[in-house]
Amino acid sequence: MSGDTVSIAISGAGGAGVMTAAQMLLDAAAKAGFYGLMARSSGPQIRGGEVAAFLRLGSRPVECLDDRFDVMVALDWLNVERFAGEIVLDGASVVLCDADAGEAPERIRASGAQLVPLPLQETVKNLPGGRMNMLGLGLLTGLTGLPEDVVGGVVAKGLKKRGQEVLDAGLAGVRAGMALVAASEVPACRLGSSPPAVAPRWNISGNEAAGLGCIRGGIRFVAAYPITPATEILEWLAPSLEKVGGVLVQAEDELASINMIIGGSFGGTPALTATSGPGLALMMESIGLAVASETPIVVIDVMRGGPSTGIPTKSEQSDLNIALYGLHGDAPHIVTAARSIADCQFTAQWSVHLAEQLQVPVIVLTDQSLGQSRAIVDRPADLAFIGRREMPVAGVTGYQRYALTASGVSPMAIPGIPGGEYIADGLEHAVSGRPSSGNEDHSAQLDKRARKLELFDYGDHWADVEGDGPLAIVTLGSCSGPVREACARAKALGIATRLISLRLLAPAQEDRFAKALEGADRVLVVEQTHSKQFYRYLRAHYDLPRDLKVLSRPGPLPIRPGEVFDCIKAWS
Amino acid sequence: MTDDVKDANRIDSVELFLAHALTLENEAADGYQEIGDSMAVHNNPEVAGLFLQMCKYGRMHADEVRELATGLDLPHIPPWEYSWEDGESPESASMDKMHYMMQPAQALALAMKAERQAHAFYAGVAASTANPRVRELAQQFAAEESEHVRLLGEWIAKYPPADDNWDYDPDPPAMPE
Amino acid sequence: MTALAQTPALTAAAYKSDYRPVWCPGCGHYSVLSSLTKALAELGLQRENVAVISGIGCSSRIPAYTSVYGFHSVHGRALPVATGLKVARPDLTVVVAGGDGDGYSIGGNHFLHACRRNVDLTYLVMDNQVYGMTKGQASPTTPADWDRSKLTPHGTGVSPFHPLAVALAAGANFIARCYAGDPNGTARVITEAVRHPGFSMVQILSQCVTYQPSQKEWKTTVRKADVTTTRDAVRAARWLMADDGLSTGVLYIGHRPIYRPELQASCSVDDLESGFVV
Repeated sequence: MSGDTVSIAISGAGGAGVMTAAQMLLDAAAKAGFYGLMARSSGPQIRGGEVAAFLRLGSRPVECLDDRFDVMVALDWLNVERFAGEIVLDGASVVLCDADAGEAPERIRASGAQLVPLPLQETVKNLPGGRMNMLGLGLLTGLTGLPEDVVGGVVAKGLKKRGQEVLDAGLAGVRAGMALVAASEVPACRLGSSPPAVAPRWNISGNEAAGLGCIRGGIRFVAAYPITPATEILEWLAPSLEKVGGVLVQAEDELASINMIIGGSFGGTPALTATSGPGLALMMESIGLAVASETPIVVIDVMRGGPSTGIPTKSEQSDLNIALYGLHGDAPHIVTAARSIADCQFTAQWSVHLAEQLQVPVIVLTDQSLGQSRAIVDRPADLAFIGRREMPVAGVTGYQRYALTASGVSPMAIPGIPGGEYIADGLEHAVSGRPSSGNEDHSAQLDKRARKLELFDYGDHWADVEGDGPLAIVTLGSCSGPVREACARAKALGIATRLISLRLLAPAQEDRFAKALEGADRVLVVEQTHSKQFYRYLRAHYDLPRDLKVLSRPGPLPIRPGEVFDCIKAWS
Repeated sequence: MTDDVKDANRIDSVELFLAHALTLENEAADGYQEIGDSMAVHNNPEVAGLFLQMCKYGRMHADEVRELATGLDLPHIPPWEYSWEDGESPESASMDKMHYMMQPAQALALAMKAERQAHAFYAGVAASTANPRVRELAQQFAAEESEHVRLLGEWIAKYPPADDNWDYDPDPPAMPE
Repeated sequence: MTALAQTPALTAAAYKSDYRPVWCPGCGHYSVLSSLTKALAELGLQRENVAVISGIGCSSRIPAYTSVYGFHSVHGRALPVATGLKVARPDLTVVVAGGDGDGYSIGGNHFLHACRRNVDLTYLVMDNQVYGMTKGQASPTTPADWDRSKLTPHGTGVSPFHPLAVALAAGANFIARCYAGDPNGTARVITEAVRHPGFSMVQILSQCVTYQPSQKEWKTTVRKADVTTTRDAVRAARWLMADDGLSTGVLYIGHRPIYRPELQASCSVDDLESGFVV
């Protein structure tokens, strides 16, 4: 146990119901007043594949997985080696496994973890309609000390539509699991006391949070093509948009998605697509069209391992370069990054606001580990960001769509406004919108499009800056959670650090960054890429101290707080 | 009604006649304008000037027709329901005969063809209508078109015929996009 | 006169901008522009309620020559831009315009799916069987033996694409072929196409005087189709496959379901949160 949290891994082959059990455990922990996080990993099979769920439960908000696991429940050993890198065990870990499943794999044995074989299959066989996953849930209920009635309530809610028989069998499984633990010598792994709830708690995934943020920001038109790991954004948005008077169109490909949302936005409806690396690559040409035609759009990129099809089910931050630099021509646009599951909502909503305000495409970076993980969080505060597009009044005369204004933002007419008729164009244009290849028009429009992003006041939202120690840890996205935890551990040892987690990557905020770095003499950059993309971005845009280290690693394994902490400690 | 009129090319009401005349003159002017503009864009100012001049005359004629129609309620006719011989307004100089290197004599010959078609239309109406007032107007308009044809003839005579290699362009086409 | 009661509020000329086309003198696209503006006048539409959406190519320049709203987007993507616009703004009249390369080659996938999706759009494809903006390369509708491009000095050797047969198979709801040499006839078809719900596919043979000078012969070879408009897709398919591509007219009018999502709110944004509450 790392302080006030408990980390649990559950593994099993397809059909065992690992994900359902893990989901129920998270729900029960939430109901009992705890925070938590749940991530997942699975084999490549569509059905029947090996699955592992990773939970971290605790009495404080949890933003990342821990360095290691306290408990592993292995419903079987089938292909469990796949997860060996992810399920870090040590001498203090306990592995509950089936006494009849044969010998544990070499890597599990070598970890030094205490293996506790229990008669899992045998117990299930003796329960009418018994299932391994409910037994597993019972084991974990017993180990963590979650109240039986709370777990029972969650099981009842989850199974009630399957009928009374299934429900009874499920509850019997949970009780049997608890009994097995009670009768064994397994060391307990109890959650502490649950903290009082100051705000209503939510159980939400990063993908859902991003979807909610978008709708809150005003998005009412979405066109998208399914892609792992972004699809859940679309699955949540489709019915939700319908309820609030919007619509999601499933497009024929990503080229269609991006152009459909440009069309929808041209019509005045704030519009969005969500995708992952391969889809983002396909969209690049038309993101440039949105830049040139000054059409606000939001593109959420839930990053996965690349290049090419890469590792669709695992996280990486390696789309940073394409998001920042993938457009042809001089194409100023906005790139933001969400730094936690809950922050997916904030960043998405803020991004819609920026897109609409500045009539520009915004690429929002999240990643698989944020998108497809669930967390128990305090309900996020309401945000005031609503997309507001400046428009001309009806009956305007002499309207010029791309007029050169001081702010760089010019009122955007939408169809239906008499007098505002204009032709949006990807060709370089004069202020009227008419194509122009003239030097003066090109320079003036390039300046205008750059100016509107440069002059805008992004406020404090450009980054989260915490602490004022001489060692600054600069990071982004899902690395922020492990870094924050590492900083907390360092603080406990009396090592002062400061965390700078960038939410706004483009346009770069040179002055703000310099100010955030004032008094820091060393910088540790933490990112999840192979080629140190974030470090190179920082080098390109910001003044950095000479004393600088980079902790950079590609996916699929997440950056752990301990790795960051070790770097800090070694450098202090 | 439409089919009857078309079959006989007969126009028996003044309103219907003036609706045709107005569209004929407007479309003639619009067509000349379009060709003139196109020639100007393609840097053939001489031919552009000729067509824009023709356009000006067309607009004047349209104004005259409009004046005659004052106080009358001209019917709205969808473009494809006019009693034109081949579906298109007769005085339209057809764009598909245009060429960016066209020379004045060729341009005027095309305008001449349009004016002759206009004359033929008015003469046809005059010959077929049962309404004396329509006949009177149609004869008057036909006479005007004859006069245009005569003037165009004089105009053409001022220009030499097109060179043999009038459309020779030593440069290849450009690639604008 | 059948349409006497419906006097248009604006003349055709009012739908033209004062921006002079870059099309070559003699190009068929001029008369398509004229047909489109006549149709808009006939439909009695307010300028601000119409949008003309295009991709890239000679014909895709057309939005700028109109006085309505428009989007000159990127190559091949006119249909998705228009789809997004129409789904988000069902109150607008949306016309999509472009050429054979834009629509059938780089935008081919969108063409199939626009027919299938059957959003209420009118798609005008000005087909001149050539890429004009890039110096006259073969397009999907170019005859296989056309050898006038340096890219395909021995001809493409590839059978031309059959847009209307594909449109029918993919599910277009209205299928017509027009000829730029018949602007009033084309105006009539565009008017009908806009009025007919769903995806209306209008192929317009529009000559390229620069790269396909032999298309001048269309003046004599193109003729009205010897077939009456049918609702029967099987009949239409048989007729289309036997036709030489030079017959004009409205060939097929279907009655397939239209893709037109309702945009009615039934709850507030705050209500969406309830699903997340522990």
